[in-house]
Amino acid sequence: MIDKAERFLFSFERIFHALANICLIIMLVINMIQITSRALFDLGISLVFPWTVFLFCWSVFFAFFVLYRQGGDITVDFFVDRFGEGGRNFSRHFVNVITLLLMGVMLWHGPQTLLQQIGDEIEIVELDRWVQTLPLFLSCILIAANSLLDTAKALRGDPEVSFIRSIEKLEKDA
Amino acid sequence: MAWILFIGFMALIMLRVPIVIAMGMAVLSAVIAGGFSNQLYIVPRMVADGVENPGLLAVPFFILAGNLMNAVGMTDKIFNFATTLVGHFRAGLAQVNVVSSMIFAGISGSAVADIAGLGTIEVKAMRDRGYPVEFAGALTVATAVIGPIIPPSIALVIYGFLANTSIGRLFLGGVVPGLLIGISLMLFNRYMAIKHDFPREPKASLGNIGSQAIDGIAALAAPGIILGAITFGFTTPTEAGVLACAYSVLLGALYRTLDAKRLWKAITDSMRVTAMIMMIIGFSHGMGWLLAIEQIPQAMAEAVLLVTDDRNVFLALLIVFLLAIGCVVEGVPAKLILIPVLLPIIDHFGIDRVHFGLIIVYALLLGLATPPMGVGVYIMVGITNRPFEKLTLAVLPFLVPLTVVLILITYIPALTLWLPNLIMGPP
Repeated sequence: MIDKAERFLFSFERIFHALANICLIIMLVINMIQITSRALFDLGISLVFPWTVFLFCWSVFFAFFVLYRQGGDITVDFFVDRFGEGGRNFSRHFVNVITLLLMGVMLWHGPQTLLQQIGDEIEIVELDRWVQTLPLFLSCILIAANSLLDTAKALRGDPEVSFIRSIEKLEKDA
Repeated sequence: MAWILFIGFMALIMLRVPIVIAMGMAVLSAVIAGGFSNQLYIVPRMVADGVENPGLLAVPFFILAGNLMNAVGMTDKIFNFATTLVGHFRAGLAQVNVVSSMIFAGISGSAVADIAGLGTIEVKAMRDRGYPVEFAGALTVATAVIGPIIPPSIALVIYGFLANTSIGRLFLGGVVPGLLIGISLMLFNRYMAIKHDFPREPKASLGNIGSQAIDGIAALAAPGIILGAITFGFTTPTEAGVLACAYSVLLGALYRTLDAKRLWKAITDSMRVTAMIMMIIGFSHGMGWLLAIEQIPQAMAEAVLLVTDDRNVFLALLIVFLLAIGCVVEGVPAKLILIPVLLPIIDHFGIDRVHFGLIIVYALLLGLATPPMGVGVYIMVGITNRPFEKLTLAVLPFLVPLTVVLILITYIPALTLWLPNLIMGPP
């Protein structure tokens, strides 16, 4: 069950990861076109700015889930480390409970936020604002699921994820 | 309510809650404590509004530019170039560490990118030449402070947005302080070299300097392109970030060092950091609303003016306060909390907002190297596998020259304002 859930979230991690990166690539490309067009033809493209803002929001909201799946947010370990393995285990569960609480509030009031944004059209992009905000709540659902899964994994004894490079790892990779 | 916000945030951070979640939970607690528990819908609404922020569009591009420079191998070229320039000085590789960071700072706006990119190369090279790993790691954390001061700077973009101040002026204002930090660290290295008899590298031949300079010149050109584009109005700060990315990709193509895998990794790393910064900003958007309702900035201004009406005393109190806050709160949330609160007081004392921008960004940056919230030290623990406590102790002496520069910047506004006034005219 845990492994199935892990595979399920991993699939979403890859999709959200790709979507966030693609949004950033499109932002780069359209802004490069804008700079070139203005420099060469003295012609600004009005579509670029609002679409950049739209894609920026999407990339941040999609990457929000990826950030948590890959253990990329900043945490302060030194205080909890003083309490040894027990302290780390406690804090892992505590973090999951806090995350679930926050995501719960976000999701409980998410529909209201989205409903308020129906009919609020973003100029030039010509899409309702809820389309821009929707990935935030999708990420919140997945982060909540990830916290539940991490609790189950902690109970099973699986280690936490971390992505910091060490010299030893770098030398091994080389 | 403000206390719940601050203490709640600190308590959660100490219990290893990730910084974005801690910020969100602290704001949520303050909303409830403020009697708005029937209006919790404002939390997701504020997050959505806070992220949709055109003033911060430059952030992902400057982060990406730094990561791309790492990916295309510019960090190695910068390091080699700096080695030929200053490697033969006393404590050669330590001086190379400082000069490399100063050059890299002209491309990247992030201290974390400096530590993660250059840091691994620098610490490994210094360790192999017999420097204590703790010293190498501590110096790398100290030199990373230069990254967000010399333009471009993500921290200054965020400040510019919060304080409604020209990004171009702020970037120009960071040049002299950035150089001063570099010089102060080089002088300190010299003192340490005499004390501990650190090795020098052999002096490079003119031919070697020339060939490394050809490689390194591409990196040296980047800050000129970015600053020139913004200062002379060719691009917005966001587009300057895009230009910096395009320039990095171009260099990768020229040197044939950028493949799809590296490009993808650089984009991924950038998106992760951007998401973290923007979600902190998103959640703290609700905090700004709470502070405004409670009229905290006004109350704070009145309280400060009761303590002192002297500008110099206020500046002294300000830097002590900022250094203390920098120790316990990470830079982005600290700026989001403090800038709206402090601006009315800054304006009351007639302190230029560009000058204040450099003071607050730099003072909070020193928190990178201090416990308990020393993010730079944490990354260095990961790189060197040395205990946090040992690295923290090794970093402490470097805070002396860094603090001296902070005092100079604070009390000599011309160090910050001379260049923007010279190039862009008086505000």
